[in-house]
Amino acid sequence: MNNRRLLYVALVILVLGILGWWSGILKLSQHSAVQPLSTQLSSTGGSSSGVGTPSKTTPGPGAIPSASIMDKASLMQAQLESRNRMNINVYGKVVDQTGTPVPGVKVHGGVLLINGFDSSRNENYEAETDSQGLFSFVDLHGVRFGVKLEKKGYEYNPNLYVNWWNGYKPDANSPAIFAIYKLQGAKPMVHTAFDSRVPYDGQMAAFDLFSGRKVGSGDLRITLTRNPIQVRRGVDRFDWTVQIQMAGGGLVETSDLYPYEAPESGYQPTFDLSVAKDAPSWTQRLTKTFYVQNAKGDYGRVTIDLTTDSERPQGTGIAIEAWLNPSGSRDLEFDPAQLIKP
Amino acid sequence: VDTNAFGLGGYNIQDDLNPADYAGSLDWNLDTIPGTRDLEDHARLWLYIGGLQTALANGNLAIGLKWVPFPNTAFGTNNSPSIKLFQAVESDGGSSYLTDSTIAAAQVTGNFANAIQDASGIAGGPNHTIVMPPTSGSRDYDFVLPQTLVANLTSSNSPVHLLFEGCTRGQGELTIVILRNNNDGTFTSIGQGPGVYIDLKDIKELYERWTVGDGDGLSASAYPGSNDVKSDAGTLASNATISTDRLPAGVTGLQYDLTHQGLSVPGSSQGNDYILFVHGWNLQPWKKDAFAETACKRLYWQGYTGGFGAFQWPTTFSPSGSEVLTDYDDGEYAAWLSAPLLEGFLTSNLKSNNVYILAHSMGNIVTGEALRIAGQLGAGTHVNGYLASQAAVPGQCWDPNVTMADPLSFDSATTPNIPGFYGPSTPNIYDSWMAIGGASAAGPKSNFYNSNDYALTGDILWPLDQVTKPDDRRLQDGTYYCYASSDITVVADLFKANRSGLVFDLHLGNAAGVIDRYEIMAYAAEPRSYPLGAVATSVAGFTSLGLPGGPWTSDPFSTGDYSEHPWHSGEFRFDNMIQNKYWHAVLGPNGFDLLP
Repeated sequence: MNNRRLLYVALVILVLGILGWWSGILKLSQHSAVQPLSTQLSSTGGSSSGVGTPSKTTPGPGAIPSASIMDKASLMQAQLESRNRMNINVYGKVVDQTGTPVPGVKVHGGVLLINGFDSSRNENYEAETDSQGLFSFVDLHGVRFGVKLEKKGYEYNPNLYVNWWNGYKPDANSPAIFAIYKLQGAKPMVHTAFDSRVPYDGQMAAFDLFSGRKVGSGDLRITLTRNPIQVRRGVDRFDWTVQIQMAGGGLVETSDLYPYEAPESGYQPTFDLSVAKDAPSWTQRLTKTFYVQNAKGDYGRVTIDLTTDSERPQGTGIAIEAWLNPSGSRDLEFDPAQLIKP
Repeated sequence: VDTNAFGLGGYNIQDDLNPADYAGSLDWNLDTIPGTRDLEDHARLWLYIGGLQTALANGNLAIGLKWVPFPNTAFGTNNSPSIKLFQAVESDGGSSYLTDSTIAAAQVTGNFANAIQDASGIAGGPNHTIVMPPTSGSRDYDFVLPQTLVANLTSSNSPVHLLFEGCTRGQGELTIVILRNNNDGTFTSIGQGPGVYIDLKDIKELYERWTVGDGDGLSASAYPGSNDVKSDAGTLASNATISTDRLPAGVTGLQYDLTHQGLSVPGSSQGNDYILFVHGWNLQPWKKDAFAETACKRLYWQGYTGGFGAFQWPTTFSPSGSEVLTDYDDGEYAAWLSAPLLEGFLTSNLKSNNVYILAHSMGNIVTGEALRIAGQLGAGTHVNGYLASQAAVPGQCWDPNVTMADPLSFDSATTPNIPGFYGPSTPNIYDSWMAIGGASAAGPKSNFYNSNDYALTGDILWPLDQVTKPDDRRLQDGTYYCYASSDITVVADLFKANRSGLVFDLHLGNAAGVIDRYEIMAYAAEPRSYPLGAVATSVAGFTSLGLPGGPWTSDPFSTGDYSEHPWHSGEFRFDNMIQNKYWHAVLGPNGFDLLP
């Protein structure tokens, strides 16, 4: 084959190729008229630009959308209305701190309804627990459901059940349990709440729970050690240990929903925790509640929120809230009206 | 005279959002404190009256107040300080009226809520409640305290505990005047006591308002071009400037300098700190101010004494408050486009400050992308702290391991069976987008989240909006988007937009050149994770703090789980008593770590 013939063949192949490519585009475009948009559009020219300066793109041939397709706003509205119509059935049981069912509890139920991105509304319902502490709300409609419990002589902390609705499956034979606390009578108490800082290099910090001050003679003593001492907050994982001590007394960790009665025994001189940087559940934060007994034998409870990863040279942040009953009683119910000012 | 508010540092006189007053009007004109929210506009004023208890009790003497101009100044149209006084409900003159709901409720009830009326009838206002200098000349006193306020003073408890609210701008020395009661409605000055210097400023003179534009509140119309913010987002400026919008007469927008310190306290250990607030979506321009001013005041009451500024960007919004659902994507596009301007602002204007960014909701698109760009440009860390609050940005932008399930798993049985609803139909382009670059551009980062957030959780609002990307059903302006391949396992440059029948290629670009990525992310590309502000698990690089049950200690709604709409912006919408712990946490060890 001479060079001229080769050139003709190449030219024919090129023309056929272009025709084939164009035919494909036409097919795609024709196909797009009846297909979801993701297959409707043909390739067109593009553009480029630097950071934060997106440029205009180039228009090209394309399909006209079908007027019958529901617009996005309508789709979202339809879903919204669908969720607002969701059937709600709730079966619950109210018990006290001993697990005993509590009858006669007013149950305030709230149904969340969604109007759009910028507003919600709620519908309120009421029920009352029967002799077995049971209540129910049946055939309501909405997105979420929450309860608030009310009975004279009892306390209910709704924050204990903020997420109770997530994953709830209504079952009359297996009601959701809500615990309330039967008040025993508040006692005069000292209450302090304060923020401070704790060194992270193993030096002890001491706090006086009566005055809420950081003083060398304080009875609550906290020693935090980081390894390494200097860390980048939010970035580095590190080993840390903390020792919490009640000087001359003791403390015992609690997870009681209503920590209003200190135990008679079980107090240890210190609470110690070591957290390894490679622990799967590693955290930089310690949030604990303890019953405490001081050197005088007074009982109380202390909540400690220690964040261990501050970069501040003056130490890492700690928030302490304490309630102390100076009478020697283990009763720890608190009424601000009976506050003892230190 | 003693005051626990400012000396010459200034005090704001403007009111803010009231639950029943969303028009943003001033409420100092009222002679009552309209609600607990308004208490954050009130500061304490203590009058020490030593040795005069008997004469005050029997009514022979009275206590007056008088404004005295600063040296070389005079009172007049441009300098007319005035305040209203209220009896403090706290017997020790404490500050719990700012933080305790019970005490606050008592302060706004009965006589405590009523502005004190001048006993001489000389003071301003229809009920003689405004302590103000005379419009011309001078006089012996400008206000006389009613005898009931000073009749029961004892030597051991001599202060008169008052609250005051600023009414009009101006500066002067508010002095105590000892008056002889002439028992005919007139009083004679027999001595003048010490005073307190007060500089009353409009709130907009106390913090910086940087703006790159406001939305116009019009519904989206014809799409003007691929890189313009849609019409209801208004015009995007080329750089941030001090806003001159919505300024009261005589007020110029503050920009900090040696003589204009705003809320910052010179000489404070926080003097070089600067908290920058970046607002979220769907705020009318005046609400951008109101959110910022609420933040500014509440941080001040927490003891913050550094600088404060707002970065305002042209979010879409609905004037009627009933937003169009899809305006959200228009707003997000405006947020992405505003990010380079925030980065430029940080680099150009705040380089010498210790900068802490508090970003709310969609403001975290603006902030996160600005930090990413800063990192990309190699600017190094120039933000000391970043707090993402209720962040409406895919969590995976910061941590690809943040996935969380329904509905972004795209296979929920609870989602409606609408053709094209199930996904994903676009490749995953979000993983670590902000973390690469952004991680190095900011110091400690915090995530304040609410796993029950109204807008960010569930399968209706933010998640549904994301799942229904690409916006392949027509938006209001006729635009729609698609991804032109069924293979979404690899990222390919196949996003497209159809505008009025013309097809445009959209290009992803890369970290150094985003090309059309902002439009793609806003309208076309599906994330794979919940938004950061709803993520209850740990997020790499962030300190996480759950708001419900943490800083938020009670929900007044019957649902009781912080899932109602107002909670998405609860720190601004609720009063300071309910939100006091939130603002404390912003400065606390899980936030900016700026507490002493």
